[in-house]
Amino acid sequence: MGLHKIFVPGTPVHIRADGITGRRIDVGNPLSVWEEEALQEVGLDVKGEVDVWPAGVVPASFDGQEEATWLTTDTPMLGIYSNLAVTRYEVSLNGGEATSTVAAPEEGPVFVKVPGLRVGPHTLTISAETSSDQREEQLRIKVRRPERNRGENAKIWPLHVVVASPSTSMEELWETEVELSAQGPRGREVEVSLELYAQDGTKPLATTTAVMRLPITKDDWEDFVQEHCLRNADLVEHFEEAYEADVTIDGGIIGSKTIPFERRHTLLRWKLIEQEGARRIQLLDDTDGGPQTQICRYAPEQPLTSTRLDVSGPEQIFETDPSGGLWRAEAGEYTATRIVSPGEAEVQWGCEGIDSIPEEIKQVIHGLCLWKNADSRDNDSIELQKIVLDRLQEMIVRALCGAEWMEKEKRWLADPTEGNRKDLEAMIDKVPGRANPVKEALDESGATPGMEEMKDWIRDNRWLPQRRRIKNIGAGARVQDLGGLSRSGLARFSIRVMGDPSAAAGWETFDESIKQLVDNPDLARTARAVVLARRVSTADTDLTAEPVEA
Amino acid sequence: MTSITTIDRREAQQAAVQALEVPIDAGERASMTVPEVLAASIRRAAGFLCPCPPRTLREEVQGVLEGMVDDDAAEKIEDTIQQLILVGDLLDLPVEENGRSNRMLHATPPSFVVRRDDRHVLLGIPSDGQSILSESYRDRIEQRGAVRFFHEDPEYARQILASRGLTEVTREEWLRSPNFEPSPSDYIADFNEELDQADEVNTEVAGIKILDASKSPRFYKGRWRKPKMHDDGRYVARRARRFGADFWCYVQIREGAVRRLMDFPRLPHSETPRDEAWRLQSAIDAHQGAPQVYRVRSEDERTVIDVFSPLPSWAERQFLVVSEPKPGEKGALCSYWFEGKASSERDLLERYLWMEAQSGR
Repeated sequence: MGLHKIFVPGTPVHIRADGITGRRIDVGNPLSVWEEEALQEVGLDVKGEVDVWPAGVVPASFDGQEEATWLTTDTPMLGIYSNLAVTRYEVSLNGGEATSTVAAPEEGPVFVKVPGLRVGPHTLTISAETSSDQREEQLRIKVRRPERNRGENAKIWPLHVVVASPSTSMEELWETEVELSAQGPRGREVEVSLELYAQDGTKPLATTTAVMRLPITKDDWEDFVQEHCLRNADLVEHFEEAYEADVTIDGGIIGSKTIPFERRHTLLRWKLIEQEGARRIQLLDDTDGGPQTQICRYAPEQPLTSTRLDVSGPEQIFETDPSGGLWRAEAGEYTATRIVSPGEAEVQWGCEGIDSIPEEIKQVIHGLCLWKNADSRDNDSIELQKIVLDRLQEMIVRALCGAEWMEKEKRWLADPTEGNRKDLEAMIDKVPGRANPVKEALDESGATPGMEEMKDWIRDNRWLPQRRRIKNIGAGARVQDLGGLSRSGLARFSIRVMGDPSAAAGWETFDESIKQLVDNPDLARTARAVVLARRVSTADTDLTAEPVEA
Repeated sequence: MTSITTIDRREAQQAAVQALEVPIDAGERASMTVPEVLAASIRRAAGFLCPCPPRTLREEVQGVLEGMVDDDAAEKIEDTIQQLILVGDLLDLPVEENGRSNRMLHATPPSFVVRRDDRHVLLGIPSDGQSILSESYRDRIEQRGAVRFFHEDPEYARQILASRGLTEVTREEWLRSPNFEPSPSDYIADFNEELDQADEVNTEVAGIKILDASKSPRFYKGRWRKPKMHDDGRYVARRARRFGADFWCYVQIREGAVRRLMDFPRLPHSETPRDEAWRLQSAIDAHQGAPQVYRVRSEDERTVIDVFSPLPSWAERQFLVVSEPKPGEKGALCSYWFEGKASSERDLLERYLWMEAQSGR
């Protein structure tokens, strides 16, 4: 090379290394054409950069190097600069869809605007030409539509309210089935309110408000509904006439979110009107008015007997009887049942006992389902519901297990001595010398009979008239002697009917299973013994938690 | 139709200011560093980036100014971010991450506040680069520094803003004034009680600096110093943090060493630790018989209030929307220029910060 033969720019610098010399060369930024040529003349290769960046307005995102995102509402604007001696820039979009050539200024960047970009990815190529070279730089541009979420939970805002439930209706809100939570600055107070609105209402019918601290968990929300809504007499009174419930979480300056819950399911519903000591019940009918509406009342003292009411009036409002009762309306596929408490009046039970025949047992079970599924809103109506259900249950037990069993059961429950228990259980072991797994479990200290013992007992089949022993052919197998029922199915059905008959009302095998219970009082008594034993033990909940068998 | 247009620096600034929806008076040259434009630029960045630390906003805004402005705009951007926090467009809130509490800037959702004089102040930032109001209402927005006013008949303004999805924030909620405390000693007592219950400190507290109440409150910076051997008492202080801004705290010092310490804020969800510290110092000064002072003077038919110590954000917020803040004059830390008599602002200084007025020319 022989550097000594040509002009060497710069000033010497001292380097502490044998045989090495150094020179400091000050150049401009950007390099001038003259400087670049001079450096190249002395054999120095010039390294430089071409920078491209969003200019003027912050884009939706920029990774600092290769990729930037703009919105369709923006016009991307870019700055371009190189520290090389660039003579001109050629800017090209998507390989030539649009191009522009611009002479490089002596100093500072050049700016370009790229209007009219479609949604999607684009590539902007910047070619910087120097006197001897050409450098290329690329920027990937993405264009997207803005997210229109002013009313939503934008991440930039501090308050985030989430409703996790897949469907949200007023009814689900009222049943505490809506899972709502709110996140935000920990410990910050927010005002939580629920307002009920009529169909055309701008002014709320009723409202409740509470101050809560963030974060609000799902459990906190459930507590709010329980404490501030379901126990708020004003809200309870107006719930049925409301068509929308607005929940607002108001954090003041950190944000406010209102979530509307609309009425969806109960197009036919009852509303209790209490004014000046008098009570009336009104049917709110939002069905399309097609099928004729049928309305009837069941008195608490005669809970299986209906009285049809006149529905010819324009407003379907009825005086409630002082003894309360159950009001049922039916319009096509829609039904509404509501229990009204008797107030001060005491329920005079007027139902006579039933015979142990399938039709009568089934009628009581269906009546029990009606009362159990009816809407009961206040403590008094819940209490009335319980009284009626207990008495109907008693009718079923008395019919299936016999009057003597019923008396002994009552005696044992009132006075739970060992003697009374044995006296009761003696009624389920009528065949001397044969083992009874249920009874054995009852006799064992700490043991509680359940499904397995019931199945074993049914397998022994000792209660069948034929008194034939059935082979153990598997729990799910259907046995001819059981009228085609499976052992496990019959065991489970028997326990259900003797514990909560409404849980067995929808079974496919309902008719046949009831017939077996009617024909074999020992089956009913054994199942009742299991229910009673488990009711007094801690394992009671296991029974109701078992899946319903179709 | 897609095209690529080359523009010069002046045109680029003009285009940016227009995109940021900042009106420029006829004949006026668009500048990217005027407070209104910087505020709009920061709001736009916040609409994409929050929650984030202030540094992220500053760097993003600084980045797009590259080559467009001659000076380093970092300080101006930081000042404007602080103004936006004061006004209420940005919220400086604690965020818990991995069991640690950090402070992050959040955007306030689009909202408005109605001032006592019926003027509507717009607050907040829409997400994703959207405008706070549609184009048909844009000419009714007056931008003054970091503050935006909405000019409309007061009878309809509330309705218009609410129908556009802006929620109304009450004056009290917006100003976030603390509880009124008639006596500075009562105010201090709560802090002392808490400090009494704090654990004893047996190790050296790194980077501790105290606010010396014996020094004149007329020179705020001069009141800060390291503890000395003869120091004995309770002080508002700051202590070093490895990452981030120094902690604000209240300390008991004996023989120059920290014996007890409590960090601000006292309540975990309180927004600004320094607000608590500055108000406590104001109470300490008043309690010791040397209350902090403010000066009132008249200039060009305007009322000027000079303050010598920094104001807590709730006080500065109230000042900011009714006055023009300027760098402190005649020895003051900051001067606020009012069109009216500023009587409610003076009342605030005296009732909430126990300051005394001095008249001056």
